[in-house]
Amino acid sequence: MPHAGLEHHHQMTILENDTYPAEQFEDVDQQRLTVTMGMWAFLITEILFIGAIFVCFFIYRSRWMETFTEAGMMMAWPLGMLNTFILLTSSFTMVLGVHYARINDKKKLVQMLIVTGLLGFAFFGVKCFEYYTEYKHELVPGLNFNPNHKAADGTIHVLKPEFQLYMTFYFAMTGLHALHMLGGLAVLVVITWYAHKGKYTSGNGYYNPVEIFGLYWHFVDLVWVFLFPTLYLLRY
Amino acid sequence: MGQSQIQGTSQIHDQVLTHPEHESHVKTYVIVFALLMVLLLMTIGAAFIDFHKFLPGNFWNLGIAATIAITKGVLIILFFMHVKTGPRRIVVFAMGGFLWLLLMIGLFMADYTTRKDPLYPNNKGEPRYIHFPGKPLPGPTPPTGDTPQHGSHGPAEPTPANKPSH
Repeated sequence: MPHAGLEHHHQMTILENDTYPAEQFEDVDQQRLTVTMGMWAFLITEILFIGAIFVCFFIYRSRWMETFTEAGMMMAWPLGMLNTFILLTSSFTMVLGVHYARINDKKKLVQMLIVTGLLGFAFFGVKCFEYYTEYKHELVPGLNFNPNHKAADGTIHVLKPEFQLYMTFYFAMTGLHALHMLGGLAVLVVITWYAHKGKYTSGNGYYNPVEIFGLYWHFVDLVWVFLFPTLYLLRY
Repeated sequence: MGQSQIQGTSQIHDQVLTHPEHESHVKTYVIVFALLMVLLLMTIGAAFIDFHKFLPGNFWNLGIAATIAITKGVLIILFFMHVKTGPRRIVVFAMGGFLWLLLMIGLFMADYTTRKDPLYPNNKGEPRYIHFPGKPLPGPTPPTGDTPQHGSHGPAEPTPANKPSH
């Protein structure tokens, strides 16, 4: 029976050279609390970092309300909705992954991590498609921007200068979010490999990396939950 | 031994769960996921209704979108990020992050809502306050053509006033 008592797996060997709990910790609880708090400390800095950009966006939106509303209506909200669905689902599979790591179910843990990763890549694919479409429609400030925008019905719609400010915010915010996704996906590949090796389901209760990666992944989801209505849905 | 010295960590120490507990965890996640999906549909639905047509004030669409997003966020933080079942000090830690965020927003707004900003003049070149929807500008006459006009968001015909200079 795994996890019978703390003494039972004290300094138990994981793979070749890791010990759990690590030597600087009293016990597994202290180690788990420490890594969880460490991840939260990082996430708090992220919340403030992203939060400042949101505040800036709303200040500029309040200055150029009409243009920002108009710009928001030009964003492809069905793609944004699809991406919200993908990301919320990946959060759900991630939390199931953490759950299966906790109950030492290696097969389901690996399955959930793979599904989470695939959903992450799907999100990224949709995002790239959106960027590509916006580039083709000459809506990327600095790279390819044409103030005489051709609407879907063929009419020419003159975009105000503030429109470029909106698009800059759009690319900065979604780009930053996409970079976070990419970083997360890189870590996820490593974690999935270790999970496949059985590192997190060896029965000693060590699955901290899965758990704190889950925190990070949910945070990325959380940011998107606010980005989506802010950039795509403020129509009135 | 070590455990007794560390108070409040028992909740984070997950035992291998017995079957009913395992089921109840998964059930909770499924319910939260379903709620998130419902809220996603609500966000979309609410975005296409102009609440200002039948409600006083000019903040309803933004307010409703924000409320739904915050509800989604709270569900994710409490259940997916395990703040609800985690040790109390993680709750305090996480709440601290949002407290700092509120402080930051509060101080930003205290500045921007009370200061005439010469960097961002209105169309007449006069410095102006931050522009809240539905609230008349406290300073000089509000610039025309720069206020939100509901119901006229379609592609505007180019007029001499908004033609680009390039």
